[in-house]
Amino acid sequence: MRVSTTQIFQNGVDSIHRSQQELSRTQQQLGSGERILSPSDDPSGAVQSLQLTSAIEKLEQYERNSLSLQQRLRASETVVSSVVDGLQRVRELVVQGNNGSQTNETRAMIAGEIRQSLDELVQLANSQDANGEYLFAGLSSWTRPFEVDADGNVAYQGDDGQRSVQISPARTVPAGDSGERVFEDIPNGDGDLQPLFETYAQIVKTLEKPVPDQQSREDLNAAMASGLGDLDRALGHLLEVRTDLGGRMKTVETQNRINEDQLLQVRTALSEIRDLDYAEAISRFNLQQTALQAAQQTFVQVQRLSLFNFL
Amino acid sequence: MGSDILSIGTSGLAAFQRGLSTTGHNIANAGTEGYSRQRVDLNTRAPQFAGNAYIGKGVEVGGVNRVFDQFVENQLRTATSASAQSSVFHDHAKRVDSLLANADSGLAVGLQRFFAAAQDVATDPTSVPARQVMIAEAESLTGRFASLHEQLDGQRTRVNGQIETTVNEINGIAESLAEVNAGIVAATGRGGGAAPNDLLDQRDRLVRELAEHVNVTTVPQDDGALNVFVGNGQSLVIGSNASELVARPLGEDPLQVGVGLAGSGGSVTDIGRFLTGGRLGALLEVRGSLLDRAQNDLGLIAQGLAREFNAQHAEGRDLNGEQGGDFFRAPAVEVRGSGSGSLPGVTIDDVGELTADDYRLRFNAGAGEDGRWELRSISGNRLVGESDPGNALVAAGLNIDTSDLDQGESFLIRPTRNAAAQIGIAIGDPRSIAAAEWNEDDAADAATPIPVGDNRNALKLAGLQDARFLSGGTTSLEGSYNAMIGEVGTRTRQAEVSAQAQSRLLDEARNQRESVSGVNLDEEAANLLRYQQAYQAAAQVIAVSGTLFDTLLGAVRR
Repeated sequence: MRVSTTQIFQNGVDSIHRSQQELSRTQQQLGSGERILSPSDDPSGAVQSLQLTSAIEKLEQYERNSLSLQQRLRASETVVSSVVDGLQRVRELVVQGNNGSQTNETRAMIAGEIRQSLDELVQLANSQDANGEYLFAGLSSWTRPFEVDADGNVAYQGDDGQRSVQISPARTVPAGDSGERVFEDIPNGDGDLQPLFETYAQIVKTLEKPVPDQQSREDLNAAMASGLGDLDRALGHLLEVRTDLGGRMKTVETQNRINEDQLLQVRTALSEIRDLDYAEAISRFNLQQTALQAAQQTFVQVQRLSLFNFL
Repeated sequence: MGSDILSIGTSGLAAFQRGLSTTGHNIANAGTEGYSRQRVDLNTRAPQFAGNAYIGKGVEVGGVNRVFDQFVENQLRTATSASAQSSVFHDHAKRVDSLLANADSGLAVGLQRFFAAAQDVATDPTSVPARQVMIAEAESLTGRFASLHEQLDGQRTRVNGQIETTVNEINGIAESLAEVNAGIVAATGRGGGAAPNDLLDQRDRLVRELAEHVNVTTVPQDDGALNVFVGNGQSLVIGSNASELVARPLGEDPLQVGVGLAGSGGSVTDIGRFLTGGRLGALLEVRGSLLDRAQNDLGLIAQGLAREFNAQHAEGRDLNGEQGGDFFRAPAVEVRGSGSGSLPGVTIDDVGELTADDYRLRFNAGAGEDGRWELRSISGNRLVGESDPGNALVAAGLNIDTSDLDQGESFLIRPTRNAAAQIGIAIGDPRSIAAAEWNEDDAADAATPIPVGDNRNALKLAGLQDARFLSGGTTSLEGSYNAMIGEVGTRTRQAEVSAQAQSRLLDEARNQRESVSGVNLDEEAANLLRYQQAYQAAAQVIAVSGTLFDTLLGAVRR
């Protein structure tokens, strides 16, 4: 084929231009460390990398949710444990108060200590978390759940709702329990529900009553026995609540581990799709550099050739 | 006899002088764009019969012709159009491509952060700071929508500007072509049919330049003129007359620059949809299939987010115990009329049914008993819904009030085009975020405390991130955006591949043309040598004829 002078020149310039383009692209990749500089480089890879990034953000969000959930569950558990401790002390006092060696005065002292326990119990049931929310008010978490009236009766002001926190796409875990469920829905000996506050109050009332004769001593013994039964059932109920809370914490922990595993997998997948293979890129860069040099050298050599030089 | 030799020698001198000057012309134009090398055709003069033999009478110049192949030229012209088209399209596609996927300005991060903030509110519904963050993230998200829309708009403005420039350039080239046509017709006539090579080169170059701007077809005329047509047969140059293209808004949208052909009496025919190839074809395609599409897709996500989020928000109860109001300011549907009559009221009936299409509402007097209002999609002119006059037209997720409309008018309805620019925040007070579930009875009862710790509605709001409620319940917000990125990426990739292929084809066609018509300086150097030697030889012939004459004179004198 016949070749024109312009063609020789243009082809030389074109091949230098092409080599420079390729070199510049590799340079950009090396600079950014990313294989995909814009979605058009690999449309499906780019979309996948968007999806994976979104998955990472979500998993990190679930981790944040779990953290806050665990704090709330732990706070509830601490309160329930304190209540159990108090309850065991009250049980000891009841056994002590039922002893025949007790006088009216010593029984009144024991009654006083149990009354203090009752105040403590109300305080514990009205516990707040770091944000000032009541732990046992159900969904009305700004409402003080247990109010004591002039007669010493304790009334529940909250509701029976439960806040759920999402810890995975398919899993939500209740963050707390309503005060009604924890402190009030406790079965008594008659098969009815009796709030723990009432159990305490009844025991106090019985112990404060003077015991003048044999009949009232027997009444006291009977009342104390039934009080002990109520306390034991309450203990059982509270331990159940605590186990339930512990179980939920365990669930959150397990899910957290799953989330972490997934996070690692997704991060690895993202890196495989998006990140540059440096070894490959650097050897490509060297090759392209050599190609450019060759194009430049041949251009200069060819341009030197002309018949006019010999005329 | 002596005079014969003299005249033969002179004919050689003249011919080789022409050869030398043509070689000089070739060398001088070795760098001229579009120049075709020229060649002197030498013919033997008609011989003279001298009793028993024909005696040669020397040489004559048959003509100076350019070395040119019309087929190669046509290929080069087609390749120029295609290459300009795909490279301009690729340039613009690349810009949209990197704009949408840019992590700093893209939508994906904004959506993720906003829904993460909604999750934080669900985890801690009484926290006012968490609610403030959610509103701040919503603001940043609508900001991203607006900025993406604005950048696409900026590109549209640039494209419109380039359409105007390109049309002006086309007009300039068309006028030059008309002038060169006139010159060629005159020169051909004057030269008795001899080709005015340099004018023909100039015209070919102009046609090629025109082809770079838009696809053209040419029809050569007997008198040497070349008629040039664009689109599907709209005449741009007829002989020495050029028509004028105009670039200005031709439809309902005052911002959409159309391309028309100016007719007699100031009339303008819209020929934009017929124009393909070249820069102009690419620019029109970029606007129609890339920018319109991207803005509509983005708008669909904005409409979907605003309306679905608001609907869920209205099912909730805020920290003050009130029912949830609008969270986002939902974008309106854009409606434009062809005349000055009243516009139809258009509302969004079902955001799940909404598409990224634009629509035209037109009255079809022939349909039904009293005629019908018909809604057709702009892309593909598909009938999507119709209604009797005065009745509401419900189709494609839209509800269109057709009462009080002028039946002679048509209306352009764009539910999503500017939605990304219009979506805003309606909520200001963080306490007004409705994280709790709405309950009519509880709300009516003043004694029931407000369930501030209720996060059930917040969970549902956060759940909208993955909910598939767009495009008939097939895709989520993120899914839509990813699909959009994927599509723009694929189109850009295709454009890149095609731009590369077209540029190779163009190189190939250029090489072919150069191979036939280009000047090779070494070849010209050789010709220079050849003609120079021949010229010297012819001069020698004249010298010899002189010597012969002297010899004869000397013999007679003796």
